[in-house]
Amino acid sequence: MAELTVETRDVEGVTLLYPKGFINAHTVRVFEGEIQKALAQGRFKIVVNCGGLAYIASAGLGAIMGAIEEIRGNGGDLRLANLNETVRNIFEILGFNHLYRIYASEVEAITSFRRAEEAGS
Amino acid sequence: MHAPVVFQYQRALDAFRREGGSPPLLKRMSELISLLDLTTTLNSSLSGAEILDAALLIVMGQLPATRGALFVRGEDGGYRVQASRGLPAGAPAQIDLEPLAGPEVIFRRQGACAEAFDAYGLDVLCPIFKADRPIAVLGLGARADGHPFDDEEAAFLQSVAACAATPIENGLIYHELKRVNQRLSVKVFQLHNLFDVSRELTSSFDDEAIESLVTTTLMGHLMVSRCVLYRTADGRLGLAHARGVRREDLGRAFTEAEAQPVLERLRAPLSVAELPPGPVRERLASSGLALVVPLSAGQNAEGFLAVGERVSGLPFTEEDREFAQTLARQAVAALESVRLHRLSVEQQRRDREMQIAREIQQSLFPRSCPEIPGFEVAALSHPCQEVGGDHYDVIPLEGGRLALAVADVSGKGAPASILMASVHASLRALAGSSPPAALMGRLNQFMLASTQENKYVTLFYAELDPATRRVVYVNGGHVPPCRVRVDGRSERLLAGGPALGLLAGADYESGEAVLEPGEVLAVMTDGMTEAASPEDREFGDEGVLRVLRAHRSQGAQAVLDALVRSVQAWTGPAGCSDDLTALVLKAL
Repeated sequence: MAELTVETRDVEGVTLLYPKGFINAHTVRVFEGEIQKALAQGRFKIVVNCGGLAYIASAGLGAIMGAIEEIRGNGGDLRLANLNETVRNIFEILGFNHLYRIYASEVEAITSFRRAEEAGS
Repeated sequence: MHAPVVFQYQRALDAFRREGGSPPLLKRMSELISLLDLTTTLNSSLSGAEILDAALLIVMGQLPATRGALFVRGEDGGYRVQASRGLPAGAPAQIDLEPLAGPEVIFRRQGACAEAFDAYGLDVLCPIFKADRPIAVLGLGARADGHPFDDEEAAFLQSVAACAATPIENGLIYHELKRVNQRLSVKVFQLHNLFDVSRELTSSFDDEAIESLVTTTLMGHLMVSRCVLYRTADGRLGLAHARGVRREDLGRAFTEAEAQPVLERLRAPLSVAELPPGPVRERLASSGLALVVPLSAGQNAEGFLAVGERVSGLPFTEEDREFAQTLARQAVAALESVRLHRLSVEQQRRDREMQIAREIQQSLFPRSCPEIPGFEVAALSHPCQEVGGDHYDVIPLEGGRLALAVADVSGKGAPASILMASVHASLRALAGSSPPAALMGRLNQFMLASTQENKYVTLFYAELDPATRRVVYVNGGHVPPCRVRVDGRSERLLAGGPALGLLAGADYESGEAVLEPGEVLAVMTDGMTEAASPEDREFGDEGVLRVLRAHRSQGAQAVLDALVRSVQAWTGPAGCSDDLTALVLKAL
């Protein structure tokens, strides 16, 4: 069984990533590859739905850090949703929660992008 | 909840007032109610910050004052504002106070702690002591009703301090515990990561994968969005990996002179500002990089990782530096093991090439020596560790004649064996087609045309007519063969010219010898005459002649065996450094 699978989906112009399993040093390339694929297609509104994510190591956080300047520089953002307790603890230990917007559910994360657009228009 | 209890006392106070209670007594009661309110608040289930905030508001309301601050003493001895109301704009977050002698209230007019009074616009400071030790200070601005603070207020404030000391200290301990816990969690996470990364690094077999993994892990852990990895190669310090930084900005490699001062300085993680001034520091700084971590296997750094500022704006901690350094060490170990792996693959490739060269060489030797009436021929070539360029051949010619050749190609390995293959083919094609001297001239021209300048071949070539016992030979720069007559006298076959492939248009002369029954002719390569003893003395022509004389009555094979045995005995267990090749012709 693969340690990590990442499904992707597009909803209302927002790219959703569904990592399932463990993002660690071994699997980080899969995760980073999906982020880079979205960026290559000019998709800068990204929501990572962490519902299936059991654990994330530094390498995984690094993949996000490495992409965030490009994402925000293009007017987009990477937001997180549906974190389990373990993943939320990791984010809080490192202060990741201060750098990224985290939502309880995928729907809230998607609508947060829409609200920003409405406010902007 | 505490409100009802306080409320009941408040109602008693109201009643007392209606009955015309004296104002000073009323005030005292009111203060006691405040203290009750404060105590219940301090013991409530609110969070630490909320408790301090509520405590401040209670005191400000009681006095009353529009400005107030609660300072808590930190580990460094400074006092930090933890709760405040109405402080002037630009008031510092922290201030150092002169040592506080005791829990007595300090008024502004007394002149002590002037700096604090001025900075925050306060009128009174009330130290909060816990067991002889100041842990906090409560400060208040001027009273809203314009009255100055007097001893009554001072007594109230000291009561407040007495109530608040223990809860504040508990809050501090709780805070400290939380901080320790947080640090512990970070450590545990670090360990998980290091374990995770090291497992992955040990199974990586290319530099790119290792560099990529190390940079992402470092970025994720330190919360930085920029990371680069520089490594030295051939003295230059070049960019091997970059994330979050434009490669073009960092592309050009640094020269050894530019890199050396930085690499020498890097014994531990340093901030970019701590690097010696120069192009490396300038370029890292202009790309927004802040912390540099050495990649070092032994004493000297062989490169470094550099990361940008933390996105949170917080400074790097000692833990961050330790983590980065540990990760860097693992990266170096992994890169080194990849390098060793590559070397061993390279060695395997060379071994295979050598094997092929040896197979070529062996395939060129004649499978068996032809039978000729009145003569015996025996030959052998004994390879040493490295494949040299020795060769011999025995070619039957028309009219029962026989061509004999022993050659030594310059160089070793595959190139030597390929050159030897072409000499072999030419000899086979040309043998017997013209007199030996002319044949050597043609071979020389051929070699000059087809080989590189520094390549040459020494060749002894002879044609034997068994009917007349006559040998016509040409020695092209080869070790002179030895002829030993029946009576033990010897002579060297010298006639010929230079080695093949050296001189254009070289002339070759041929020599002749008629071999009487019992005579022995031995043709060797220099691997035999130059074979060295453990004392570094050469076997030499004398050694060869000694063996030939001693065994001249025996058959060709026996003489050859004796030669090889003697050389091997001479060199001892160290063995020969070159191929051993010899051809023995015995007249019966």
